[in-house]
Amino acid sequence: MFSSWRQHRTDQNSDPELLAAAQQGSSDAIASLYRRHGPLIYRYVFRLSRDNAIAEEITQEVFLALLRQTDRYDAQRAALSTWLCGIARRQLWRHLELSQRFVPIDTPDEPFDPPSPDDGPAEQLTRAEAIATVREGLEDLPLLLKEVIILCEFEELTYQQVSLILAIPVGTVRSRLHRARARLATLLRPVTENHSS
Amino acid sequence: MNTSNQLDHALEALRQEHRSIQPPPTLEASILRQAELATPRHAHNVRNWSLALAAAAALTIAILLLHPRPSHPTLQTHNATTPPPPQIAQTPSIGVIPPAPLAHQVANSRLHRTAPRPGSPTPTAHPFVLLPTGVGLPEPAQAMLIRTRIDTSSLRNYGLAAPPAGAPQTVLAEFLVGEDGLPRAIRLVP
Repeated sequence: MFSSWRQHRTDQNSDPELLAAAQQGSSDAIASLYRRHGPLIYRYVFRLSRDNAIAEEITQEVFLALLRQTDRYDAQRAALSTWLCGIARRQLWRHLELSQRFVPIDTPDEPFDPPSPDDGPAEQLTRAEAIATVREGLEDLPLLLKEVIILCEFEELTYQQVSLILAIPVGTVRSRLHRARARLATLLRPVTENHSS
Repeated sequence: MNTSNQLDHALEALRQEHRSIQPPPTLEASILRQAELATPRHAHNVRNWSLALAAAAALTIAILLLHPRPSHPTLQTHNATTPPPPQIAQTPSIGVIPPAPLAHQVANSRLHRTAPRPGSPTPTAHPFVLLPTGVGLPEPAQAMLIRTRIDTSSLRNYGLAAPPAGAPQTVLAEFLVGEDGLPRAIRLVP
């Protein structure tokens, strides 16, 4: 009972407070930090790597790095989740490069056919089909576009937060998101046509 | 509904799907275990440094108290004309230190080793007297006992009665020092 009360109390503390306590060896503080930010890190790595073991390994490395490099975190500059996600991304990229799974982004002037807003009802996919198509298309996206969809659309982070995680300007985040969405939207159309024919 | 809206709806559904991804429960335990292995040395160092700093501060205070300078304002505030501060009756814990931590602290204090060895006759200790400089200070959570020899001529500065004529030049005394390094009370050791 006492431990759950203590846990409840640490859950209410701010990230910097928890960090300070974690640095002193408080396992409650570490557990609270993990419960607050661990799932985001795990999901992000898992979606990009599609590998449970890598996601677990990197999530663990991220939290150990957090304890070792607490002084590097600047609460004025970024939220802790953003900082942790940045560490996770660097570790994941290093991992993917080592295993030669890194797929570079395609050229910026890649042509794409944006969807027309006046597509008729006959060309619409059923909801389930659309979800399945987008899910599949997402897996086929280059990693640099896929991660923007994950962070902006799924985790609902702001452009500013994503720009800090990816270490790119906000404008680049916007353009990548636009391109990623355009690709996914394009995927919906051919299937629609097949569906209606 | 155009493809853009359709995409939004699909992404919304996939967002729910994405949020349902949770790390395995074993991961938290694993991280906590690794963290424990990673942090004790550091935490231990911090504790050691804290203890060393506290001991250094306590020693500095004790030295300052043993050799009070006449111009020291805190020691001049209590003189023979002012009534002695209230005695901390029988036990040093009342009003100064919580009983359990103090007893524990005193029992485990390294400085306590200077006390008479077990087996030798234990003289009855005098009650602790609140130091004039300790009035108004917050209650310490922990206290340290420092035994030292002080000049009898300075007893009044500590709120103790003046020594009778023919008393020895120095007497053995114990100071209760809070974790902030500030002394709270004093007693004479017979």
